[in-house]
Amino acid sequence: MKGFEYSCPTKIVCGEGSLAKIADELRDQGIAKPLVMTDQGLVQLHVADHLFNELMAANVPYEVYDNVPPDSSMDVVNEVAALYTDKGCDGFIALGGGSVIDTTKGAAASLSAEGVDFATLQGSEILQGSLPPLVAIPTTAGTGSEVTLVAVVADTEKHVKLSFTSYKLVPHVAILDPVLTQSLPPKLTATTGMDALTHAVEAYTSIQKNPVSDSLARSAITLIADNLFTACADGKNADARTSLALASLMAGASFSNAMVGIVHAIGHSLGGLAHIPHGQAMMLLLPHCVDYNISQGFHKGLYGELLRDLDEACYVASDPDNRDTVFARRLHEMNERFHAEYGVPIKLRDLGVEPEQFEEIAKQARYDGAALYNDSEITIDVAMGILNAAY
Amino acid sequence: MATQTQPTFSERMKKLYVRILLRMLAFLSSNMRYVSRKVQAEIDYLDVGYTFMLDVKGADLTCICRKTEEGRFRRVPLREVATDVEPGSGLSSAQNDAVTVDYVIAFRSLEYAFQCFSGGKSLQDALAERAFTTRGPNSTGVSLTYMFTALLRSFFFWRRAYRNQPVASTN
Repeated sequence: MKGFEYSCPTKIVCGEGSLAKIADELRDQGIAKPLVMTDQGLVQLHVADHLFNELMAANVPYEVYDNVPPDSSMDVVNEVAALYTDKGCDGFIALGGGSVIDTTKGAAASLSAEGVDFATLQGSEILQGSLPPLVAIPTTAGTGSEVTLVAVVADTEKHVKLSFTSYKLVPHVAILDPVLTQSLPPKLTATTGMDALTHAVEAYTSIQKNPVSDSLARSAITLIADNLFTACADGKNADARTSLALASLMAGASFSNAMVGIVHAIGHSLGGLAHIPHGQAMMLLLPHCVDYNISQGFHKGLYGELLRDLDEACYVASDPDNRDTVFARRLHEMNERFHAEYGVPIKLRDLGVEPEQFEEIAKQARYDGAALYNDSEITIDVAMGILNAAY
Repeated sequence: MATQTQPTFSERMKKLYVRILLRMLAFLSSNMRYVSRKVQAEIDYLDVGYTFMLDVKGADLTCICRKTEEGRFRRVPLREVATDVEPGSGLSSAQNDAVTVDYVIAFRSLEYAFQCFSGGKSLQDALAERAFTTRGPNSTGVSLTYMFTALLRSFFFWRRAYRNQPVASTN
């Protein structure tokens, strides 16, 4: 067995009504006055009220920063770090999707390094000091950021997504309550769910894969396969929502330790240069990247193993030598179903990305941090080929 | 009472080997570009003045190289490196003429560095085991990794670590 490292120190509080435990969790973390990080959408849709009501009921004083944009930037990270200090806060609550949680991680990291500009901390394992206490409450089931050591923040000037990795960036507590995801529309449920699926698939085929991350990835895939379509069709189904939130967390805990590969490398580039939302990019690219890997003989047999988790009946019925290909076909079929039932775009042309942009996207993908964890080198030609297939 | 274990003969040899390789790194990187298009392509990707540091934790071994206008790498003595900013932070130094380091690769032990520099372990395997940490912009770090991989493969292609590594088809 190859040597590996695994860490996931986050306390997980999961289930219907788990948000009611927030006051206890704050107390356990020694937080007396949290800075609540969220975005305008969650405030306007009254999703944030679930948290505010719990805090008020428990007489917890708090400050709010509700202007995290969908593609958070260094400026926002540094602004939040300054606000935290000005307001005398002693911990963070990140309520939102990946952008909110990653922005919070960035600000917390900056504070742990005595307020330095977060941009100066790019790389891996740079942080020495511990972060201020951070409670992450995801409102989508996709990024898994509530348990990952990664923070992705955009450099809006250079149109690049920068990733920061450190064991210190992992939140201290994750609260998964289905009440927070029940209002997600089917389209967003589908793309974020496919983002989680991509995390699991890429973690399982990454160069840093290990027995612990493998186990989490496979369990996550089963939960997604069993619940994603149900949650899209019946958003109020608390069991399906909880299962998806847990799947996202497990996929996050998996890729946080195994990392990701070609889908993310190209996806980050599509996000930075063409402003395609992350989940949408993952969903759209995943089947094509799997097709490419199979065509090159990469990860032979691994996708077939995952077919058992994605669709056991299909696994049993298919020829063992053909299971990799069947797995890829099932991914395409899932996308086609999301497209047919909910109008989710599954082609780059439907998102306004044109072939003239491909070369620049491909070049940036080659030099994305995730490219290093792909089993094979991502050349510009390879990335171009996948972009053309997804067009 | 604290005791300090003397390094074994094997450890001293490994340290000497890594020290020599680090000394030669600028020369090897500069000249391998004539042999390997991959090395040349990655050198081209890096800006003139780009400076990287290889560090071996616990072994007191450091190597700093800077890309010149001629597209070669020059070894930078430690005394020329800025002391008012951390290597890899991307911050500008207030010290005139001091060299700032753009990217740092720090091996977590001499053993890991030796294994990588002797072809016993590919850089990809080392990354998989988290044998080194990095600091600096990801994009150039990826480029450096491609360059070092091409460089090491040129010498150690015959070793198991570099045989059967997946290579993408460009067809």
